[in-house]
Amino acid sequence: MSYARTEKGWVREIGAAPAGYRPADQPGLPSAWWRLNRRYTLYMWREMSSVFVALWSLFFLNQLNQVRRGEAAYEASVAARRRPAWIAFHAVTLGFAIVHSVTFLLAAGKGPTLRVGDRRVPERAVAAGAFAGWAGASLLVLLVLLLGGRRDTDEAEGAAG
Amino acid sequence: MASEPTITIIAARYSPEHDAKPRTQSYTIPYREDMVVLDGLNYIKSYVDGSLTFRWSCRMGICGSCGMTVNGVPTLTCASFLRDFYPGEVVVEPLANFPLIRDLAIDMTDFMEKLKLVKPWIIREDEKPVAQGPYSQTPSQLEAYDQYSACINCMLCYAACPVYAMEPEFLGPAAIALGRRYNLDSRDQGALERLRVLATSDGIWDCTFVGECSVVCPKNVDPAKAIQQTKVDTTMNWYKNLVLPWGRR
Repeated sequence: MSYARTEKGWVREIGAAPAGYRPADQPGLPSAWWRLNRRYTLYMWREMSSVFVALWSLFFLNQLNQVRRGEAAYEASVAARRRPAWIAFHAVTLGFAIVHSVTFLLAAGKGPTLRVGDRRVPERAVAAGAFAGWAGASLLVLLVLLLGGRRDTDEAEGAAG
Repeated sequence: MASEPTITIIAARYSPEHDAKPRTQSYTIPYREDMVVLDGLNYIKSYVDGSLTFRWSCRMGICGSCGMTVNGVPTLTCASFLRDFYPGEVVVEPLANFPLIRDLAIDMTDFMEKLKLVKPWIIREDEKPVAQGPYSQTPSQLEAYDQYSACINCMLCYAACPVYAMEPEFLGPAAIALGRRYNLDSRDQGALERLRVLATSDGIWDCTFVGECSVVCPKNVDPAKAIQQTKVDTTMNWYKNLVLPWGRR
């Protein structure tokens, strides 16, 4: 069987169709196919969220570059990030990152089959474990940031005193 | 005497000899609470309009013949009760993403060709003599593939898959799930042959994990899971071969 793209979409050319049958044009999906049901729409939100995750990754790479260029460059970039537009960017990105993470972890159960002895670990338990891991990792990062911030404050106070 | 309750079924009609494109026709038929959509179509066929064309066979969710789009959702019409729509109308259309033959009957050639590609049968490198008895399996070996063996080839997953709609070369959910079913079978030795078809850009890597195939599957086969697991397995194998090239297979 071969295919050809026409103005209406893909057409399947049936080589040995039974007598009397003829292939019908198969129009492609409507451009707004993702609005046909709620799950298609959620899928598109999930896919779109990765764009924002990528944008934030670029931002982070830029931050690393500022660190490489020296303290003055880094401080200048930090000051620039305090503008409302950047704060809005981070708020929106955080929202999409959460959407991406939640939908990704909800699908964790569809990944590798985990077994305990002879028993298969249920999908929900795998997903719950993934969420627990996410929460644990987030807490760890929060702890590092808080401790790091406190150390900086202590050092600043020590230098001032 | 109270009048007999009725329900309206709006069926898609298409005659390649007469119609430039599909149209719809409305039928009002007697309604009973225990009727499924397929009963309604058979009533129309028997008593109202014998020209209405559709596929069906077992009437009990085994043969996979009667899949159609009911009120926008790919459904087995033998497993979809009219009472779930009553007193509203029921719109019955052919499965999406397949060429239309007539009315509600689609051409499944593409699916059958793709199914053959994954060799959905047990492949042995060394067949043992019949006298040595059957190949035995433990319950856990059976459980490894059991879910995927429930596929009845109804093609609802293809009708629900936007990737298949946009890229007809895509092997599709059911064929991949059945390929995985045999790859997980402890009696089978054909995994490598199948992976040459499954682990390609028209196979598992074409899937973007919309997941609708698993939602509409009437047998809880979960083809989306089969595809994602095959992705994970082939990726792990790739890394294993990279790190341990002497163990390459």
